[in-house]
Amino acid sequence: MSQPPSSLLIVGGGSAGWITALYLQQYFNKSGQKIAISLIESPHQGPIGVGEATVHSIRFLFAALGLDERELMRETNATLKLGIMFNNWMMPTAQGIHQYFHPFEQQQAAGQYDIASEWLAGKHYQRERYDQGVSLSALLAERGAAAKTSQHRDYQGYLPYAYHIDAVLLGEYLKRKAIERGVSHSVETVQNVEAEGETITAIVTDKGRKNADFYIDCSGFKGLLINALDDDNWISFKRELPCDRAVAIQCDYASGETPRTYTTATALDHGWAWQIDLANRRGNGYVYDSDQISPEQAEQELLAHLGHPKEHKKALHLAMRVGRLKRSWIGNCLAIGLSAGFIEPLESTGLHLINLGARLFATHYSGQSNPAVMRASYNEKMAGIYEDLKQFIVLHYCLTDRDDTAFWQAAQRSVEAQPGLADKLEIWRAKVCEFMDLAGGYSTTFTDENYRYVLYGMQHYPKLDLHIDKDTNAALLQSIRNGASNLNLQAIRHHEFLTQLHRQSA
Amino acid sequence: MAHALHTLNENEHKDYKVSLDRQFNHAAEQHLIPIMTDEIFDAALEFPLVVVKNSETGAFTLCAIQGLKPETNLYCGREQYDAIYVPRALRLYPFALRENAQTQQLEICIIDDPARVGVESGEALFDAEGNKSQFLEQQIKLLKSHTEMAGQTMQLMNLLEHYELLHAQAINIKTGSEEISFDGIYVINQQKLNTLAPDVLVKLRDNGALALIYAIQQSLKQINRLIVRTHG
Repeated sequence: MSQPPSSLLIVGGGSAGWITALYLQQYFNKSGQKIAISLIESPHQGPIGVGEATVHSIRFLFAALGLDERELMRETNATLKLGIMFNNWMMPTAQGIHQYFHPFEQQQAAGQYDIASEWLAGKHYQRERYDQGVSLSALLAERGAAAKTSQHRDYQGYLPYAYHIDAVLLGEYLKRKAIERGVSHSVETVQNVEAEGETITAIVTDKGRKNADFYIDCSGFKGLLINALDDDNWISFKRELPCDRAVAIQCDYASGETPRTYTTATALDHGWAWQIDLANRRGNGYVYDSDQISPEQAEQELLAHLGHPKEHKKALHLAMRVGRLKRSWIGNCLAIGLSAGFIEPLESTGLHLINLGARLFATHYSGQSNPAVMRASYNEKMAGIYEDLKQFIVLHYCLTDRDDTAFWQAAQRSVEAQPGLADKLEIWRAKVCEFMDLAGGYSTTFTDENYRYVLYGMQHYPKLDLHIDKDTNAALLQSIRNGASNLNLQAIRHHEFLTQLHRQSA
Repeated sequence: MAHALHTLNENEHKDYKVSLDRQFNHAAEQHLIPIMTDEIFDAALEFPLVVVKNSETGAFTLCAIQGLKPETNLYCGREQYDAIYVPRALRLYPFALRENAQTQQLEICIIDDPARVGVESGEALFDAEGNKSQFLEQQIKLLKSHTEMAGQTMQLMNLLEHYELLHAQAINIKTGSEEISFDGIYVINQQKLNTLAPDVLVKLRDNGALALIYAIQQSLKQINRLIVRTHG
């Protein structure tokens, strides 16, 4: 019955390390310690996340971690997020620039057909964007309305929502919580990894030797532990997703300016620029293809995009290793976060992949009757999740009609590098994208709902031969518009919500 | 109350105006007005408060009696509403909240009562830019607190039911030659209240219910005001 607790050592103290530590501490040790969890971090780690946007399921992670939402938001300068606005991913037209919004919700109202078919068959694309037709979030985002009020319970709102969060502050906050809850912590620099075959026997740091039953590598792109076990374990996504560098610049808000309640992803000449609004400042960055431009050129292009702000923080340049590990669990070592893989954050999935990795590990590790089988199962699932996400990101690029730079010309061809996607795109010219088109993959995060926002946002409309009743169709879509307008009347403004939130702490 | 409810939105109701009516004519034929927990102390000083069982859902509702006969209200629809406290349910009109069956969202509705709602005169709902007016903002606040309190009130009703503190009682009133009998109402069971176990009493005291229960019980005395008004 009473075995001594096994030990688990996490290397790396960024978001990945602390989310994993806290999650596993809650999962395994909430009622009596089963696994002694410790974390070591190097004294000078520069956290990579510069200002994170998230997906809405992050709320379930924070809830599972037992965190008070208001405290979390206050301590990380967080804002609420209703979705992502994509700008300029196609050529501008006489009507203006190309735009579409990807929210976390789609209305289920149906007439004779499902809502997407009704929207398409009623030719509503002649008047409005798909997201404006089928979601409530689009109007709320446009009007700066908050997804929740201070009366809502933690992690609940009118509509599904995510956050913009300061990743550095999130790391510090999670660290404090994890230590409070019994995760042991020390500052050490890893110097050597000792292994026998695919099993780590010890880690040597500047403070001495460390042993554990299991090791989790959250050391970022360096992959200090996992890469010591297998040097032929990497699959590059550079061909499908060429963006491999980023430059980030923070700005203060101009007077009178308030944080937006959505992430912005604006296509530039050789990649795309993010805008992530925190409570106290605006995060900007440019993700680009280093084969096309130098970091200096990228910085200049970003500054021009920002309208050459008079004051801004020093630019931070980052290099990304785009791809995934073939096996993120080898022997007694698991990689989570950037050490396991990286896909450009166009859909704000950085923390989400950490969340999935930690959760899957917890279920697989606790039931490890046959370690080899559990490892294989974990590795297959994580590989599937990365591949699936890659396909979804490629979808954002390959439907473009932009050919103004070599980057965008290549983007049009990126579909060729993604097996099976071209066939799917052809099918989706003939019918709506349905759940079963994606089932069998690992599309738990991005399903047909999400694919439709991108497909129809990028004007990849199917030609449907459906006979709809015009009046019913008009009434159906009008009822969604009215519902959105009504919700906007009830909702408070995002900046008011933030003001109330921060006042509560005083 | 046979007027239709519409989901309020700036598309259809941009030019709508609501005229104020301090006589609350819309309730002239309702003798029971719903009351929420936060209104109990104010309402109990003027109206008898009773619990009514919804014959369809079986749910208990707390109400103020404003008339001694069905379809009669001794305050609303008169020359002047002469009580100090106006129940929130009266002030909400012509707005209401309703759950949209398709979206499952609570929606603010406007009641299509031509006596109060139109485009000619009254308080505008939206300004020229389509933003909600201060008047509408106030009404929405009122609706929200009403919904919030509805939850609390239901909890109080559940408590009363759980500790068997309600009993059905017909109230018979002799007013002059007339004899009025009030059926289907529940009042506080005083005997049960007096024999509650000490730990239950402490619990009810600590969550604030005990004071409310006494207020509801005491309010029955206000029936005399209604009798006087019938003759007045």
